[in-house]
Amino acid sequence: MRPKKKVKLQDIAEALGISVVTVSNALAGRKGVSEALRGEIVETAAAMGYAASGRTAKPKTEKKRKETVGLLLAPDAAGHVRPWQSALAGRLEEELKKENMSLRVIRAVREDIAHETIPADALKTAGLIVCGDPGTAYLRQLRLRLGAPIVCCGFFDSHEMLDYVLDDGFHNMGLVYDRLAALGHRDIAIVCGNMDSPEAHDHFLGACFEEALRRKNPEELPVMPDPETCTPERFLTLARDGKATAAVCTDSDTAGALIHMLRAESLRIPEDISVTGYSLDPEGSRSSGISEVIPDFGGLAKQTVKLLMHRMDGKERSGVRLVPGLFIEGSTIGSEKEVRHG
Amino acid sequence: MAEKRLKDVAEAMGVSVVTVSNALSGKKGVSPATADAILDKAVELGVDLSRYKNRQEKTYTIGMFVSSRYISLGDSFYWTMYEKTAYAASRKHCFSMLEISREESAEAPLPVMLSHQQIDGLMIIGRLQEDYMKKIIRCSQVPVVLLDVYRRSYGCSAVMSNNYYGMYRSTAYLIDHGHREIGFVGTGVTSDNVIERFMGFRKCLLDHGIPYHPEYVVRDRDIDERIILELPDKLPTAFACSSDYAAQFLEMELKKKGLKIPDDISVSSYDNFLYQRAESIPYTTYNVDMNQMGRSAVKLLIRKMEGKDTETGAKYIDSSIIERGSVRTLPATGEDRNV
Repeated sequence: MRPKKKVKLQDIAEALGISVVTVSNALAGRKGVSEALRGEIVETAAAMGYAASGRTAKPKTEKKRKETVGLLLAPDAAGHVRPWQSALAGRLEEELKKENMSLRVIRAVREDIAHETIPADALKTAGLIVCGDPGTAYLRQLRLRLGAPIVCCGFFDSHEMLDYVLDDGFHNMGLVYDRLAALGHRDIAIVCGNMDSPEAHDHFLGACFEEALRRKNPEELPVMPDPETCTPERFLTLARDGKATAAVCTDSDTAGALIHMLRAESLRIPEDISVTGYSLDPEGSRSSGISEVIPDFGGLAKQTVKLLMHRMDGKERSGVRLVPGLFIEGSTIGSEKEVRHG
Repeated sequence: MAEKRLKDVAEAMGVSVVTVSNALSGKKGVSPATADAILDKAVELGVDLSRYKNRQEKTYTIGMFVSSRYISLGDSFYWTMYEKTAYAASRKHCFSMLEISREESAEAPLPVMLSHQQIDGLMIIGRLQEDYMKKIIRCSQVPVVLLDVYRRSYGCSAVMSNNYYGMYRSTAYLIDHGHREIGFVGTGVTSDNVIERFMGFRKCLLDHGIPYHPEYVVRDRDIDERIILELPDKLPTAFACSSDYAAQFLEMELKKKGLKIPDDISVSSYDNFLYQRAESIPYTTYNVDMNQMGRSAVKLLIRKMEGKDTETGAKYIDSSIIERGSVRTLPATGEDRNV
């Protein structure tokens, strides 16, 4: 059950009876190691499972050559590539161009993922960006079969210790609450949409966290509503009874539906009620003018490429990097005063 | 001419011109002692050092401020955090000084190192009384970076442990080992960090479709940091603890009931701080990477002192689970696996 202990440079050095510095130099392609010894070290490292760590065993000089980074787009369960993945692909290409690297988009199909087939293209890249969650088994195959580093973008898997660059859906809810507080809202209610995704959980829990921070005496751990009870219908009742002036929705589709329901009840948006959403779609719900949080796709791409470069240089630190999102002002929030006196 | 002067220094010191050049420009390959001696000699001989100024890392004095609540000499989380950060500062050729709070309120005087203008930048490590924190940040004439404490309303930059995903990892470890009835130990009163960790715990349950049992949530201490931990009547199979201290309090209570970790109950934790203590069980715990947090905070503060960074916001440092022996693998339901 327990994963094997990570192989360190020191282990390789001890196995060969040489210094750690020599091993490091050999694997990083630095000078000062004979080619014969370098070969032996690389072989030993691979045999001990060191290659799996993602360090490239390439001579430094090769880096000046234009290298290709792979972008593996993994479809969702229904076989679709989401708009945010396409948007990110575009931004990643821009960022890589700045680094004099080219991008090869590799589309994995559901069958590949089900059979854990790694597209041949992915094996030829100097580094791989995985965009969209292909599942633990597939990620493991990628990690084991690729010598090149991997950075995952837009999802998180606690089973594979890789680099993950994520939209900070949890803390981003602070942007919403700060804005609503500045407009004078005190009675804010959370409205949950489809709660099947980790992102929806982040948005819900982020909202609960903000509620907890706003309580006068945060002695206890927050008592949180059951997401199942946070329906648009319940909000409608709260709004009618004057018990809520703002709705924080976990996604913009739900915000749109709620606005529709509120208007049907002759409640005005934003004069009577403010509504916010969260959109993962780069185009957002801009046509409908919903005030919402969107991920910072440029920031995500920048962070992803920066991290991949670090990893290609042999620097090792894996973990989650959170990228703050952006609040789009929209036209569905207004001052609380208007509610009371308007 | 400069070249000749370098040669003078080299001859006086009995080293090569290259070594002198390296030493003065702050490059690697010269021992700090030699570099200092060379710099002294260069000053003595009147070498024009102005052209080295840009290349030499500027030396700043960083003030570190910690609440007296958290500092007990040599043996507290924040003392260790201070040590690691002071080390990181030293590696960046910065001096650091430590000041411990006396009283904390809106009326309390500013830290002495701030009011006496002794420092180029301020690092606040851990929580301070809210009004006092705001006052210091507002009144400080030097850049401020927070370490392990953050609120957006402070309008400041911070380096944090990745509470949300860290606690997720700690909880996921229990789930991966077959646990489905999982409790949480922690109190929101300790800091926002614990509330964030609680949310990470909740996320892990939600993402895995595992029910949350409020009756398995246990408070570990009250507002005065007194231990108030009470076990629920019915126990879960595992507890995710918000800190190594919480795990230790839990362990003490379990012991009273004759329950053993991990045979009777599994425990995962957060911090990786208490493992060195002989009397306690070595907990499987999420590592708070103090070295990386210290390095990152120093780097950020230097950028601010150089005027290169004016942004605010938190940077969350992730790390990994350190496996020790406090979690038992439960057999999968319905089949009897031998583990």
